[in-house]
Amino acid sequence: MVKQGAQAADHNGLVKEVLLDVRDLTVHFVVRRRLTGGNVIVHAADKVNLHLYRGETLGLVGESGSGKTTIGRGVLRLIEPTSGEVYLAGQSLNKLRGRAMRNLRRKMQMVFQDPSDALNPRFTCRQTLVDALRYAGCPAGERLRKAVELLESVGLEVSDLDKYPHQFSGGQQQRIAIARAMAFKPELLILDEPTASLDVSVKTQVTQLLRELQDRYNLSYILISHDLSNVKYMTDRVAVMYLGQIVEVGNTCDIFANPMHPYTRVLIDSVPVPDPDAVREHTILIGEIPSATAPPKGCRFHTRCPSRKEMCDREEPHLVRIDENRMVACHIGES
Amino acid sequence: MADPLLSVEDLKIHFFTFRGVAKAVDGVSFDVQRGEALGLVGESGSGKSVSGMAVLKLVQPPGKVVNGDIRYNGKSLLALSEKEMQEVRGSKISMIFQNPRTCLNPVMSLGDQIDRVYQRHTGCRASEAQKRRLEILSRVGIGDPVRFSNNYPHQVSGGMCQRAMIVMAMVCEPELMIADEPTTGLDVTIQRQIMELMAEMRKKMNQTQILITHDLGVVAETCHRIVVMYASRVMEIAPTRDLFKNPLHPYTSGLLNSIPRVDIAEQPVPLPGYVPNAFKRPTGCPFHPRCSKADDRCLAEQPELKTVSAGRMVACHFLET
Repeated sequence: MVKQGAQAADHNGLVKEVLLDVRDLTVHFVVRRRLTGGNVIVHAADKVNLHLYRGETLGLVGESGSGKTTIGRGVLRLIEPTSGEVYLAGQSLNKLRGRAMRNLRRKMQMVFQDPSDALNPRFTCRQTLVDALRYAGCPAGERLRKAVELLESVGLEVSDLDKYPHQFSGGQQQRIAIARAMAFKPELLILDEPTASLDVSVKTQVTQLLRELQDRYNLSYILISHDLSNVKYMTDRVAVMYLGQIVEVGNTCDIFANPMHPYTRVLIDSVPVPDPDAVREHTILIGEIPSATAPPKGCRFHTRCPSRKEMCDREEPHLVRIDENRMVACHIGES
Repeated sequence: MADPLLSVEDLKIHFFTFRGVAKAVDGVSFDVQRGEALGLVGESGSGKSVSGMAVLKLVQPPGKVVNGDIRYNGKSLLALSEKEMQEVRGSKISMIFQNPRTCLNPVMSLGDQIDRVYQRHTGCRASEAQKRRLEILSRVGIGDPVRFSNNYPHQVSGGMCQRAMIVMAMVCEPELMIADEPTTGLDVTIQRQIMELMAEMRKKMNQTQILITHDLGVVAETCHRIVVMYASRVMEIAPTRDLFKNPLHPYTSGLLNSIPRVDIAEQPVPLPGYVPNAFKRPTGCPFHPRCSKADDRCLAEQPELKTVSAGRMVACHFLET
């Protein structure tokens, strides 16, 4: 685990600063069953440990229901975590309330999946950006100039200022949503499926824009996505989640070249590849992700695991460090 | 080549709205051979879904088929009355949709919905339909068919709803199945299961399939031939392998280069620009504003879809000889 505010050196000897440190983050939702009585607890995230270096992109992948979005929202405290701690640049977010939390949240912005839902349909592009700049503390006289600057930084034009969201295509709407997030000069952007609702040919444009912005402003990203091709293209490191837990973390190139957890391997093998000659292994995962109200005992993946051992349904595997960057939670690899 | 099972000829579907006429499909032609899986690929607004709906005469006003013909086994489907068409839908040609949950009846159990289709087309007794349903359900790999049948759509996952839709579509063993984005919105693991199921149906029942999707990976793995659509028109038709190894149309190659892939290290190159609005299609070749090769001719003249080699057709001025 990385010490708070600590600096780690990578293999090039470059010092990397830890921007975000998530420790034992747990989010449980209590669902009341009024008719049948009794409450049910949904284990959306269980003791998740993560860290994010400044300037890097961390991918959070997994099937729907694996808790990726919950982690993203838990970090921003858009949902209140049940337990655990989150540190941004060494500062604990847990104790912050009211104004202090709002101030800090400016440094952490979120970009959502569907831009047509995220933008106010009755606000022109100008209103959306000026409004955001006002909350960002930009003086009134400078807001319009700044808005134009933001708009241009995401590849739109001044003539687009007075258009409403419905006059833009999905890709352009997402650009406006990104511009709005950038108004706060954030350090961390949480991207929740930012390209999932976009057209194939536009997806890569938006992805490239995000990479340009990252280079220019030294931004750090958490990319929540189930699109593994895009995750491979965009991220430096990946955390694979299953039923609220992280099962594998590592550098993106290592994970895709040599997935160690059986779940990671199945996920990567399942992605259809646009190459009719590709010879690939298709382990078909039986069944679906179990309910998070009663996660399986032992290893949570054992009910669907193609290579499970006898002990897997009894003992819960813990994340074990394989090398400097890689951690895996699986009994198979253990000797 | 043998007579195609389905042939779409110069199909034009226009939507007459207050904002003007949207040409959703503008002169589309393609054939579907018996037993093949044909991929209809394109981005949103390319007209691929509307073309699929038109085969079952499901285009609703303000949409209207204004030109062209759709022939099934040599007979025109567009000439059929609504009553005759009802006999075709579900028994000869079936369709499955994206969002299975919105297509299922929320107040009817999955089992009853499947039985209804079978009874409607065969006129058999309820007990017989039930027997048939249980048999098909276990054939598609559902562990406990009885329990599955008793569920209502909201009680099962999206993947299970899609399976119920597929079972409903195949219970009468149709010759032709049109699948409109059957795996979009599902997790990759579930997508893989559904893809396998569809491939099995094709092999075991010798079914012909049209797969409508934007996912080039899915068509590469499941289809024999591919029709690439863009802005209401067909850009290229080619056997799958040829299309991926040697794309001829600039749009096809641009699209292939623009998608990030898990299998190769190369970086994607985005296509510039946006998909044109359906009300204001560009003049000439619809792709010219985004095409790096475009010249004056592309701006003025719409290229025709022409055969360039055996089984390959392209609509591009640069490939004409």
